[in-house]
Amino acid sequence: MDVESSAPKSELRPMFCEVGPITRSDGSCMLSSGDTTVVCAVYGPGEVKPSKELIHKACVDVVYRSRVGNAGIEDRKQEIFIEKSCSSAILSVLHPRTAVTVNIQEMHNGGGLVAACVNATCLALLDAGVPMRFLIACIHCVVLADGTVTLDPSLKQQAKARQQNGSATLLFTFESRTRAVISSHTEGKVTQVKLQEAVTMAQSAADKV
Amino acid sequence: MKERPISICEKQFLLEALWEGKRLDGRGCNEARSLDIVYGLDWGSCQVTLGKTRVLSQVSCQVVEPMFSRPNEGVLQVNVDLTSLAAPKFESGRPSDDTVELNRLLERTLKESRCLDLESLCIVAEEKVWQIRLDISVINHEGNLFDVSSVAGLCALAHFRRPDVTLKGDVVTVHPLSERDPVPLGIHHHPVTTTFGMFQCQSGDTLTVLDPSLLEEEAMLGKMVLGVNGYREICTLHLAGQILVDKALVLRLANLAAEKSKKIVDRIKQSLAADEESRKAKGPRGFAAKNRNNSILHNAAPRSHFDFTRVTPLARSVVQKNKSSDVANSTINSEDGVVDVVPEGVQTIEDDDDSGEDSECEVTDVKTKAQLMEERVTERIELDDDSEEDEVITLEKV
Repeated sequence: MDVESSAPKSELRPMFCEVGPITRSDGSCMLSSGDTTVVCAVYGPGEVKPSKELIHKACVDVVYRSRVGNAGIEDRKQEIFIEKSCSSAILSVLHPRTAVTVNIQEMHNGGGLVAACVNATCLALLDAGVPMRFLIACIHCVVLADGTVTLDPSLKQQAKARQQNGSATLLFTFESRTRAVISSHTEGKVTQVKLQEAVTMAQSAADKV
Repeated sequence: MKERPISICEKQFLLEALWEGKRLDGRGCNEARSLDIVYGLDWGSCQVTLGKTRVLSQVSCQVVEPMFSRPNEGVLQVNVDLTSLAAPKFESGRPSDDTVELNRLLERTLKESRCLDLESLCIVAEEKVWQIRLDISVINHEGNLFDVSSVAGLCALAHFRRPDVTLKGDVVTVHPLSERDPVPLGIHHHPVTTTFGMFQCQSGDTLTVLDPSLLEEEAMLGKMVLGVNGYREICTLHLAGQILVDKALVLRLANLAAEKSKKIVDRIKQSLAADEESRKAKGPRGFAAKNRNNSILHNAAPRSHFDFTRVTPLARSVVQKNKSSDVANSTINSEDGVVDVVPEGVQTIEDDDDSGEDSECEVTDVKTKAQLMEERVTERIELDDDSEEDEVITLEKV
């Protein structure tokens, strides 16, 4: 696990999860995908601040904290992506005027952090017993300039993709019933064929998650 | 989010058990929970667990200008985050009283005791120094945050390595980790805090318990936090609550704290050495590897392999199939200097209208553009004649 190869690989890193590390919350989990480790706690459906209250459904509130530094804009971006992915899964209409609070703490970033966060959220929601339509799985992939598509990249591979021109980082979230794409996030340039390839590869990988 | 307050019967039960010398989790009055230290893969990353209370700490460094009052010393910044991850009553945003207390205590223990050698962090006096930033995030709050945070902070500082710096005349070179091995921080002594919860006995005596759990913390009347280093020197003393203490109690607790701190400091040094060894031996390290133990609450999946050789041609065929319906072919008509991009779809609708049978609106009259313009004109105004507003007066010679 320490030696990070930059050769393209079509495999998901070994995953490990622990349910219930946080005793005070309704549901929690610690998920590690390779070396990337995140802790997620879910409270809810519960009390909501009047400013965030929605009268027809539960409000999903995501708070993400990284290891170093104060909360910044990058963190907000992650929060929004995670919230969008989870909102479609949670049956929020069953609990109007409440809030489902999701707290995520990054413990170690070894690549594919946001994907790990979404997966951890799904597991924590399950542990909390929040009613959900389906389970969600998130896969991270990287398309390099030479055309290789790599799933679940390590930090080095992610950094390489960011620096290279003509490469892209893609995030896909799938749902468990029909393996349809719920949300996706792309940074960089990618051709249509490559996008399709990446989606297909990620879909099969999502089965394992 | 509001928390469920401790009920009166719970509190009474706890107190009565304590009067008999028993604690709810079966520990002795001077027994702490088991301490576990796990280091992460990065330098300066550490997770400390005391029973179920879990705290993560991370040290990072940055080159900044020094403080005006201390131009040749580095800067240590301590930041503790109590988010609602740890407990529902903590909210992000405005720091609550607990957060401020914890922050201040850690600052006093780590900064004001001068345990870190700040002068060695100076690069160029009055211009550049290292700023060491210690971020402590509480992951789970099951009582006694002070002790865990101080141990986590100290472990992270002791574990951290900063990049090596060379000075050639005026040029400062910060070597990246790949070029030169990073340098550990200089730590003079290791201060560790010990927390005592205090309760009032029936007879008026004060009962103290070491390392209060969550329930004990909620029920206690007062607390005393003592920061002692490995040489039995008291670095911090913090007394809070509504309980009266006498000096005999303070001395007794100080002795107890000194003994405990010595053991904890030894544990910290042992864990650092163990981490060093496993780093050299390339054994399993990091949170992912160390947090595993055989428990029904754990689940692991091995590395999954996939066969994606057929994906590329499949992808190409999918895209080809969808290309004809997705990409709209549009015709470009350019007439009289006006360029019209008309997508194909729109044209077909126009054809339907012309047939007149399927559409809902009837064609009543067909007019040409010239006729329409004629009808639009409401009033004709001739501007050829002179304006007749001014009367023309011809002056005649009388």
